[in-house]
Amino acid sequence: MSLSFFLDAGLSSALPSDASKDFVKQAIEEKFNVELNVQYMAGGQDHVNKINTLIAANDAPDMWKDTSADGGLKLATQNVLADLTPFVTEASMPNYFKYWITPQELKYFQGIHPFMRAAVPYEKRAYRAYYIREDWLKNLGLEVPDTYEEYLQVLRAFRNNDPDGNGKKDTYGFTTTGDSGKQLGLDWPEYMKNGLVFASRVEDNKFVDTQTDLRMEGVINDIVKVNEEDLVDPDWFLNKIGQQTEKAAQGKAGVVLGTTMTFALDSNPTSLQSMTKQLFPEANWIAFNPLGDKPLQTMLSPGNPFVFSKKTAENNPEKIKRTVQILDWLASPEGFLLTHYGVEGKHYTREGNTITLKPEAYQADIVDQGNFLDVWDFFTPNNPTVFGFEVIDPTMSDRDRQILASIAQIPTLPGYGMTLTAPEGFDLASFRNKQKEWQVKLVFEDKSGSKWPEYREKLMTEYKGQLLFDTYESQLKQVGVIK
Amino acid sequence: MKTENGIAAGTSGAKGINRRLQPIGRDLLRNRWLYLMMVPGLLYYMIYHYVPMGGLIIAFKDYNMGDGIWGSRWTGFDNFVTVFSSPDFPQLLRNTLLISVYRIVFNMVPDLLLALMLNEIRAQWFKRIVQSVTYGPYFLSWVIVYGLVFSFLAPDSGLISTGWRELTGQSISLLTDKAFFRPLLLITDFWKNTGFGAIIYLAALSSINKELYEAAVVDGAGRWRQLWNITLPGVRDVFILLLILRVGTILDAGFEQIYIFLNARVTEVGDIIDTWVFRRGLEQLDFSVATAVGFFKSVIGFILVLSANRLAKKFGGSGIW
Amino acid sequence: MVESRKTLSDKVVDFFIYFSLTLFGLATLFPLYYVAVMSITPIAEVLRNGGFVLWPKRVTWEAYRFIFSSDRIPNALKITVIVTVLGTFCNLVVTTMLAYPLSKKHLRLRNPILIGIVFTMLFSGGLIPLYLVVSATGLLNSIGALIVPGLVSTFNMLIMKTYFENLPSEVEEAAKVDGCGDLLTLIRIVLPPVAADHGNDGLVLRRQSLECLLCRHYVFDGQSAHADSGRAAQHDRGPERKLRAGRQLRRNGPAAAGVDQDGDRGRRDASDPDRLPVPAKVLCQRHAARRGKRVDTAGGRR
Repeated sequence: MSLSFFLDAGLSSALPSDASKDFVKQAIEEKFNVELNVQYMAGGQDHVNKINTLIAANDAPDMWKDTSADGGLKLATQNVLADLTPFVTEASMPNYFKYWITPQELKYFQGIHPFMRAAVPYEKRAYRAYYIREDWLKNLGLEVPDTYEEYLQVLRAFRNNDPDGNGKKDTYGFTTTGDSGKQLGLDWPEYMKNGLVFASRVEDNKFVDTQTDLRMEGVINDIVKVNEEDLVDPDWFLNKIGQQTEKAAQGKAGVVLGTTMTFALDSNPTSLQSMTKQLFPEANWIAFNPLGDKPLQTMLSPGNPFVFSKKTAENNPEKIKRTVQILDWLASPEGFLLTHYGVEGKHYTREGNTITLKPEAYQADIVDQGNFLDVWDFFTPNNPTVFGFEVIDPTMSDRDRQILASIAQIPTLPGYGMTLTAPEGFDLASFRNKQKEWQVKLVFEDKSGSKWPEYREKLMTEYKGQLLFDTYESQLKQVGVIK
Repeated sequence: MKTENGIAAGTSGAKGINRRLQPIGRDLLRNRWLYLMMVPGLLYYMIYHYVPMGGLIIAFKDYNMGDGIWGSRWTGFDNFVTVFSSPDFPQLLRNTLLISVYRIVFNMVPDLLLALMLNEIRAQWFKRIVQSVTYGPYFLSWVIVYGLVFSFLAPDSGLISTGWRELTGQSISLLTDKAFFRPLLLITDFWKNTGFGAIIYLAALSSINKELYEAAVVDGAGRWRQLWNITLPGVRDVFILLLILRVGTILDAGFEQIYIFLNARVTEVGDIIDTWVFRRGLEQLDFSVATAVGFFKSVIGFILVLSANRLAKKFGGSGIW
Repeated sequence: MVESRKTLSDKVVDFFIYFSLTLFGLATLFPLYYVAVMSITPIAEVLRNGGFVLWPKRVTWEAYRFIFSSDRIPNALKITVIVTVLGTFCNLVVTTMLAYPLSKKHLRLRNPILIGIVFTMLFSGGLIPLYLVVSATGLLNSIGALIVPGLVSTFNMLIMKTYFENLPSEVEEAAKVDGCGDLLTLIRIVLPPVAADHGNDGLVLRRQSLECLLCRHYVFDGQSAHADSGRAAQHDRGPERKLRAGRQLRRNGPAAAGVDQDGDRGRRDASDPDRLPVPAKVLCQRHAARRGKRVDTAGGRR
C-alpha cells in the first residue's frame, strides 16, 4: 500500500537523499507494510498554497498537516476533507488520547464545525517568560524585579547607570519587536500590568479580545511612558521578529521576552545566552516575571490539525485506517523516542524511564544528514514528561535547569482551546490592520491612549468589529465554553 | 498595412462572401512558411496562457475547492463589490496610482539618462566597468535591500541616524516618516534597477549607425545636435514600447518592494491594492476576491495599452501593432 | 560618439558625466562588497557591530563550508545551470520564430495575433489553472515544468520584433534573390556568419548589433532565470503569483535588447531619401553609392 503525506519542517531541514540513512521511514514502512511518499515544506503561506494547488489539481495527499492561519477551517467548510468520525476514535488511536489530547479538547478544537480536523499533539507547557541580564543587575547592585514598579526602576538604571561599565550611555532597558513596523506587538509587560493577558481569553463568562479591549488605553499610556522616558530600544518598532533577540545579544538591552523552551539555554548553541556570551563572556540571562506571581499567558490551544483527503476516504478507506495506525504509533513512546532522539543504543541509552542522549552520534547521523528528525517529529512536541521519561542531555548545564525551573513557576490562565471563525465574508485582515495602525498612531503621534475608545468605536462599527466578536461569543456558547 | 490589404483584395477579384475570406486564405497560402514558423509559439500561448485563463471565471464565483473552478457557485459581481466597498479602497487606489505614476516619471527616465551618459563615454574600459557594476543591485532581493536601508536609517543604530544625532543632537526616523516614504521607494528603486533598465537602451544605441555621427560631424553638428537628431530618435521606439507596457501595469505599484518597506506609521501613504489583497489572502485564503482584483487591474491595464498604442501611432511612432 | 574637437563646454559635460557615473558606480558596488564581506565575517563580529561590518577583523569560511557540506546546494546549482542553458536555447528559438513573422506588416493576421499576445501579458488565470495545465501536459516533476511554461517571454519577443522591423529590407531581398525561403532568410539573418557572406556593409553593421543582441539575450536570460528563482522565493508573499503567475511584464523585467530606429515607415518608399529617417537614409545612400551615383552625405534631419 502506498501512502502520501504532506508534512511541515524547518526551512533548513530535509530528509536524507540516501534513503538508507532514514531509519524512521524504514521503520514505518517495515512495521506497517506500506510505501511512504513524503513531501514537506516549511509551514506557512507557501505550504498552504501548495496544498491548495494539489487539492485543486485533484492530487491531494492522503494525509497532511495543515498550517494555515485559520487552522484548516476553510478546507473543512469546502468539502475537501474526510469526516474523521469513523477513523479517529479512542479505540483506533489509544496512544493519541492517552498521552496527548483529551476528547474534550478535541471537541473544543472542532468548535461548531464537523469533525474533519484533529489537533496534532502540541506543547502544553508555557514557556513565555521575561529574561534579564543578571550580571547587569549585579554590577548595579540591584535585585531581580518582582513588581512592575521595581521593573520600571531597573529599566531606568539599565538606561542611565551604565550597567555594562563601558563608560557610554548606549544601553536600554527593554527591547521588543513591532514585526517590522506592523504593530505594537504583544510582548510588553504593560499588557499584563493592565490586566490583559497574552492571547484572547474568556473572562467572567465573556470573550475578551486582548488587542481591542478597552483597557488598551492604559496599555498604550504605559507604553508611551517608557518610550518617552527613553527606556526602550528606539528601533523596537522596526525590529523584525527575532531581531529583538539579536539586539539583546549585542548588549543593547537588558530585558527581553522569550517564548520557547531553549530561548536562553546553554545547550542551544543559537540561544540568546550562547550568542551574548560570544561578545560578553560574563553575561548571564535569567528568566523572571516582572508582574510577580501574575500569569503571563493563557494555556495554549491546539494549533495545526492533521487532516485526510476526502477523496482517499471515499475511494480507499483502508489507506486512512493504516495512516491512523501510523500516526498513533508516532504518538506512542516507541514512535516518540525514535522521532525525537533516534535509535536506542545508538543515539541514546535507556534505563527504565531515564533516557541519556548521545550528542555526538546524534550530530553525525541526524543533524549532519539534513536534521531529518525535524521532518519526522511533526506529530509530537518534544515533551517526554507525558510518558514519565526523564531525559538527561549532557549538554545541558545547571544554569539551564535553573531557568527551566523558574519558568515552570510562572502561572498560566486557562484558555478556551477552540478555533473561532469570522462571519462569512468578514474582512478580518482590514479590521486587524486598521486596529494595529491606529494603536501605533496613538503611541507615536498622539503619545496618549485617551483617544483609543474613540478609535475602538470606529473599529466596532465601520470595520464591523462588533459583528465579529458577537459571532465569536455565540460560537463559544454553542460549544459550552461560555454558559 | 491598409495598402497591402487593398492590393491583395484588389488582385483577388473575387465577389461576395469570398471576397472577405479569400484574401486571408491567400495570405495564409502565400506566407505559409511565415505562419508555420509561428506555430510553436502560438501553440505555447494557446496552451499555457489561454487555457489557464479559464481560471479567471472564479472572479465571478465563490470559489470552493471541493467543487472546483467549474462547480463553484456563481456570484456575479459580488467579489468586486467586496473590494470596492472596503472602507480603505479609495486610499488604496490613490496610493497605487500616485506611486505608479511617480515610478514612470522618476524611474523610467533615469534608465534612459544613464544609457545616454554611458553612450557618451569613449573609454571602453570605463564604460564596461560602470555598466557591469551598476546592474549588480538588480539581482539583490528587496529583502536584502531593505536590510541595507535599515542599517543606514534605523532610528537608533542606523549609520545616517547616528551621524545625524551626533551632529545635531536630535534623533531622526526616516523609515517611519510619511513625507519620506514615497521618495524612499523611488530612491531605492532608482538605485536598484537603473543599471539594469539602461541596458535595453544601450543595445538600441549600439545599433545606431556610427557613420551617421561621422556625417553629422562633417556637417558641423555639435554634441547636443547629435544627441537630438541621431541618438534620441535611435531609442525612441524602445522608449515608447516600454512606456506602453508600463502604462498597462499602472495598477501595479511594485508589491514586492512596498510590502517589505511598509510599516504601520506610513500605511496612509504607502498601502496599495496589492498589499491589501495579500493581507486578505493571508488571513482568509480568498481566491475569488484576489482574482477579482487581478481581473479589475487587467481590464484597466488592457484598455490603457490599447489607448496608448493608438496614441503612439497617432503621433507618428510605431506602437506595438 | 565620433571624436571631434572638444570645446570647453564639452569638457565640462564630460567631467560631469564621468563624475556622476563614478559616483553611481561606487554606490551600486557597495552592496556586492557588503554581501561578500558579510559572508566571511564571523557571527560574533556581526553582532558586535549591529549587523554592519565594513572591514572584518577576522575571516571565516564557515558559511561556505556549510553550503557545500551537503549536496543540496550544489544540486540546486546544477539544475539552475541546466534549466538556464536549455531554457535559454529553447526560448531563443521559439521567440525568434514568433518575432520574425510578426515583424512582417503585410501579414493579415499580424495585428490580431499581436493583440492576442499582448492580452496574455495582462490577463492570467492564476497559479492553479496553470498547474492543472502543466500537470495535464505531463510536465509535472520534470525539468520541462521549469522551461516550457516560460517558453516565450512576451517582452523579449516584442523587443525582438521591433528589431526585425527595423532591418533594412535590402538584406532580406538579397537573401530572397539567392533563393532563400522565409526560414532560410531568417537563419541567414539571425546567424551572422552566414549572412556576412553577402558582404553588405549595412549587414555587417547590423551583425554587430545582432551579436550584441544575441549575447545580451543569453546573458539576460541566464540572469533572469536566476532572478526568477529568487523572485519565486519572495513570491511566497506575493499576490502576484496567485493572480498572474508566469506573467513576464514588470518594470525592468527580463529583457532582450537591440532595437533601432523607425525604419519601417521609410522603407515603403525607398526612392525618396528625404522622407527617410536617418538609418534607412544612410543605407539608401550607400546603395546608391554602389550603383555609382554621387550622393550628398548629409546626416541627420535638417
